[in-house]
Amino acid sequence: MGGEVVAGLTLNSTVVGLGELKYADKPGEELTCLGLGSCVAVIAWDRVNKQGAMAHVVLPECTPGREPTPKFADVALPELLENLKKKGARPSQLVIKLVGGAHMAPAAAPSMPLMRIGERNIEAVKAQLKKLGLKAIAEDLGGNNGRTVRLDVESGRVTVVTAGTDKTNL
Amino acid sequence: MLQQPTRFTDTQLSAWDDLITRAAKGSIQALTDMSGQDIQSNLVQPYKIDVVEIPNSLGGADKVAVGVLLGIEQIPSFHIALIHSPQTAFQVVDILMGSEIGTTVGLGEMEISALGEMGNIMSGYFLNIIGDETGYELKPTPPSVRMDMTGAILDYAIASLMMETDEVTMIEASYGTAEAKVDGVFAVMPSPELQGLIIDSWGVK
Repeated sequence: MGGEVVAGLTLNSTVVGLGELKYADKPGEELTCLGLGSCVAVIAWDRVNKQGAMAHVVLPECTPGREPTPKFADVALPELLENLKKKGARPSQLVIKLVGGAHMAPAAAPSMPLMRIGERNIEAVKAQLKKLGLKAIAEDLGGNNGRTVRLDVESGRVTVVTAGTDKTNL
Repeated sequence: MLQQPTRFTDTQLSAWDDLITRAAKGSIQALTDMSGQDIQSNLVQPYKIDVVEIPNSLGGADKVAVGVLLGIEQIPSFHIALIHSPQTAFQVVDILMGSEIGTTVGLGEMEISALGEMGNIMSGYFLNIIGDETGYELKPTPPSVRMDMTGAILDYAIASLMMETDEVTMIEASYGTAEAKVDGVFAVMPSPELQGLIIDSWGVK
């Protein structure tokens, strides 16, 4: 991959912030989610058209009264698939990988549903994938450490860095 | 986007900003009492921020930091976070324990306990000042201390805030001693729900 490295990112890196869903389709471009804790990064790579999408899911489901945005798993995944289809992808050519969903809640967290937020995000993302007829071929989920994940859209390579460790390919 | 409640008057919101600023300054003063060192606040600033921008405002989502996170028992979506770089956190432990700066080089049980106690005391003072002023009694949860990426440290807090709102008024304070500028961040993220309950019980019109 080309691109000058600046503070761990290349100049062609696009950061996918909390609750965002982004796409990239040019050689040398990468998509990255920084410092994932209980959030889940959903990475979809179209191996035929060499394009990718990444969703930074924060919460499992959009509740009534909330604006439906990709921060919710049940909004992000259908939108991701729909937009990749519009860009020429077929579901069968998508390589899906999942990263994040760590257990980050303090031991004394006062809210039980929130204590399981990482786990609930994982469950919600997998349920949405099943509903859409998709399946992840690789995952780095759970645990209790933060992660940064990158997708090189040209090669489809996904790398994961956990705090204080070297990057690993997924 | 869901916004902060707008049912409050400008006077109420201004009084709220003033109250949390005084409470944050009071909690930094508490560090002086705890450590016996003269710890001064360098900056105490309340501001509105999109919840998704909080990790960036506290140093960057993938920057490794030492975080102390507390909530309050009554309201899940209220958070107090103390964020330091690892080196600074080690300095803070030295200051708190009266050790020569540079003594602490990692986080063991004792160091985690010291940082947790710092979180207890700062949040306790903060909430006591709010309680004394408004009559609204708030109890902090036990602290959680961890070294990780800033985004990951804050993810639980952010997820709980985002269940309720997309924007909060956050107060950020940095502090240090004359000899050692600590550059820690004391960030208080009151949810609109809590802000509403406190303002309603306060009597400011």
